[in-house]
Amino acid sequence: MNSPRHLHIFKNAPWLFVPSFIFLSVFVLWPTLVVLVESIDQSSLTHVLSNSQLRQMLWFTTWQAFISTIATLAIGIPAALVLSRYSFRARQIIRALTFVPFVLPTVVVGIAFSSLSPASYQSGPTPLILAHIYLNIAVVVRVVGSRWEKLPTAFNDNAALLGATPFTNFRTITFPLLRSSIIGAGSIVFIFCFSTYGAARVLAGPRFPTIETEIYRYAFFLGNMPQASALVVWQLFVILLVLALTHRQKSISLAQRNLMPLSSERKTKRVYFSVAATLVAVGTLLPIAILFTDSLRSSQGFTFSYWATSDMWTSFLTSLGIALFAAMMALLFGTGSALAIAYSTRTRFHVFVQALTSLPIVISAVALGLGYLLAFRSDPVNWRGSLWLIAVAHCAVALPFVMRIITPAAREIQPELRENALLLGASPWEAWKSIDLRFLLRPLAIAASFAFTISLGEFGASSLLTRHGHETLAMRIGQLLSRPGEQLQKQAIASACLLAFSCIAIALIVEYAVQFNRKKRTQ
Amino acid sequence: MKKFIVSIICVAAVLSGCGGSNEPETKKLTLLAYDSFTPTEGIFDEFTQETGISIEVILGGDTGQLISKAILTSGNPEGDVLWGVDNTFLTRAVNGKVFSSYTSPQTKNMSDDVVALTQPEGVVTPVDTGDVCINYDKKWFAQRNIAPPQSLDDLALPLYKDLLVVQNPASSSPGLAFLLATISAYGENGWESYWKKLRANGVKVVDGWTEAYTIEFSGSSGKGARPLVVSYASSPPAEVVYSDPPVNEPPTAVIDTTCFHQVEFAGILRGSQNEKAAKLLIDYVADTTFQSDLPLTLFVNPVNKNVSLPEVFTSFAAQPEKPYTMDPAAIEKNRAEWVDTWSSIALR
Repeated sequence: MNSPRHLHIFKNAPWLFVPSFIFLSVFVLWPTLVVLVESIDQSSLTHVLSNSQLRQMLWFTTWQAFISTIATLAIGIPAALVLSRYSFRARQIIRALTFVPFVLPTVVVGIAFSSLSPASYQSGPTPLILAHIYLNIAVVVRVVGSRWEKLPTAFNDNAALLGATPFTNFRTITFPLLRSSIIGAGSIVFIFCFSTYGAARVLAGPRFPTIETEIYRYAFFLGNMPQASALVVWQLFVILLVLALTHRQKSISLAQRNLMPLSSERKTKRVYFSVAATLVAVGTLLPIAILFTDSLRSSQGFTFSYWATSDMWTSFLTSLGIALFAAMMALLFGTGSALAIAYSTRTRFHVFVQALTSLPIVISAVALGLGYLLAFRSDPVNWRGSLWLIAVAHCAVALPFVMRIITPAAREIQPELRENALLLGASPWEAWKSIDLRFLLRPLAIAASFAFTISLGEFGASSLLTRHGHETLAMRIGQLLSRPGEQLQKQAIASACLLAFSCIAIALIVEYAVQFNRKKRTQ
Repeated sequence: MKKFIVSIICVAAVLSGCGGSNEPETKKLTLLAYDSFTPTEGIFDEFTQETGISIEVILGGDTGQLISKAILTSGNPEGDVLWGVDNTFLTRAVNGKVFSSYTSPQTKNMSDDVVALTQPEGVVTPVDTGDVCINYDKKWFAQRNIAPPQSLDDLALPLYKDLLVVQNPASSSPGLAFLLATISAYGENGWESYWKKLRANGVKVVDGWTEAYTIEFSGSSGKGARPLVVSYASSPPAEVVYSDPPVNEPPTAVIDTTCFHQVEFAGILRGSQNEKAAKLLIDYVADTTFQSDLPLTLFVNPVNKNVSLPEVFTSFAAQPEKPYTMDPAAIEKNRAEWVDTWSSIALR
């Protein structure tokens, strides 16, 4: 009975999911149900299909999300190739940079984009799709890249020796191995583009409403809650459909990272890849650089004054505090859920956990904000206006990402290693700590930075929460931008730069910390 | 791992400490306001000294968000007093049973037409007024030797083709105000054809004030291409107060024949446990101390006639003689239909 397999302390341990289950039920499921139950009616649901304007809106939302997804994959996959297949000096920095747009407030991205080409700037589907590509490249680079860097190079080398062209090589070997991660990345990008809000308001303009901007408009400007809730239901339906269609199949697990030094490639390839990597870096940085120079310039010349407002630094500290709290909670709950799945053999349980942890992605930020207002309005749960509720909302948004980063890593840990440790006399806890936890350190660090930066940039749900003086940096940007006066506008831009720089800093720290840790281990 | 969990619990404890409000029995009132409610810090100190009641201000989004949230939580409000429902939202808020009726005795110092808006119920108290008007970029017109437009009619002239940016009245409060100005000006039968002309003349529609004023408009911090924008009569003094370096003249000005008059109100939220104290607060915000703070912090006109306006405000904020205006009940009744009709003319 005492075979090592049974000594795995977390083997089939659904209780690991209990904390997340409670958290998600209270802070995601319950508020959403309250919104839907309080205001939904059948005629509003069917009205979406019978009203030609709403039908058009639904169609536009769908096709722009589809095209955005294809375009993001088309640009993101080559970027992932360069950044996850080869090692070169600036790799970490560039990889970290691709992550920044993902967390920038979309209003800021809109301003940066429109200041790129003020004269020719026209709102409509094209700038929206371009912004979606810019915002979501990070998803493809992360999701596809983390898979790609583990593919053994030997397969491709052998095929090349046997005369396969690079294209055949990609089509017959690389692509099948990457397929599940490409589909996974694509489905996330699609969901983001489908529920786009800030970018759509600034860049697509009023002629092209999307489902999320319409939910907001019906709920807050027209005060028509039943119609807003009906749209929430439609959005849920489409996103669940996408998730069901792209549900990840099990993929072959690959543990080793295989980076090739870029210098080992032929010269033409080297030049091509260097150019590509530079383009990714420049493309990411250009809008931020424009914003930064803008924040240092007043009509009389160079100035630091927009960076010297105490309000900005106060809300920055608030943001850091909330992000720290949110990231730790998200790490705790996300890791619990991830391990519960990874160490379990029951598929039904997998589906259950995955469905529940997908909820925060599936439910629109506007709906979540409304839900908090309604669900937590009376004692003993009258939590409206609490600072920690903002952190909770951020945690809910970050949790699915943490889980999606940890799960594949935990699955790839080879049980034999743990079993050997047990055979060698380690206690179950020691075995878990010295094997599993060690392999999980890197994904844990990445997940933590992901959650932290998501919290820094989160605007949708938390901007709907009423607040007692404490403002996050992202909220402050939105507030400054809504008032006239050059100083206020410039302060908003400076705050946006601060946000972008913090994201870059965090991504860099994690990249280097992880690398340093690995070097230390291999010594 | 243990350390990790302990540190999480510590941070949780610290953060929940910040959020909780288990203060002992000092009397406290909560004032709920829109995001751009930014009076001078310490403006409520005098009130606290006089009454022993401290004020906490909480912000709840823009006016639309504020009112929708107040309706959803009607009877179980997020605060005691609400600042900032305007005449375009008043009827909806009243129908949503948001307020517990109270009109301050301070209304004796206000003009009759403003006070009349709170009738017949007398549910709220007027606190400030403002005007939504076309603003223009002075430099743009000066450099080209073109006279800025003088009226709503002028905006449809070929001379001003492709120069105007407005907000979508389906999602923006100044956008709705401008649509209402045109409906007041041209009447039920004329406004549709006016908007057809504006569209033919290249009017650009964006979703909100921020997009219009900071991105599309050429006159403020933005680098937009359009020198005409729907904004507020008080935007020019705001440009002076928040300019850097200091300037004596705003870069923008107002066309005061294009304005729609907005009145904002404060009311006691139904369900408040402190109605008596809330009445004192309403009286305070309608009285001179608070009212004189309004022009240069919120950039709105005080309603209390005993308050004199600061110089930067009198010199640069337009005080339109005959702004357009409309009965709140008429706005609520027709809004959805007007906005739908407008969308089919201006957008599709």
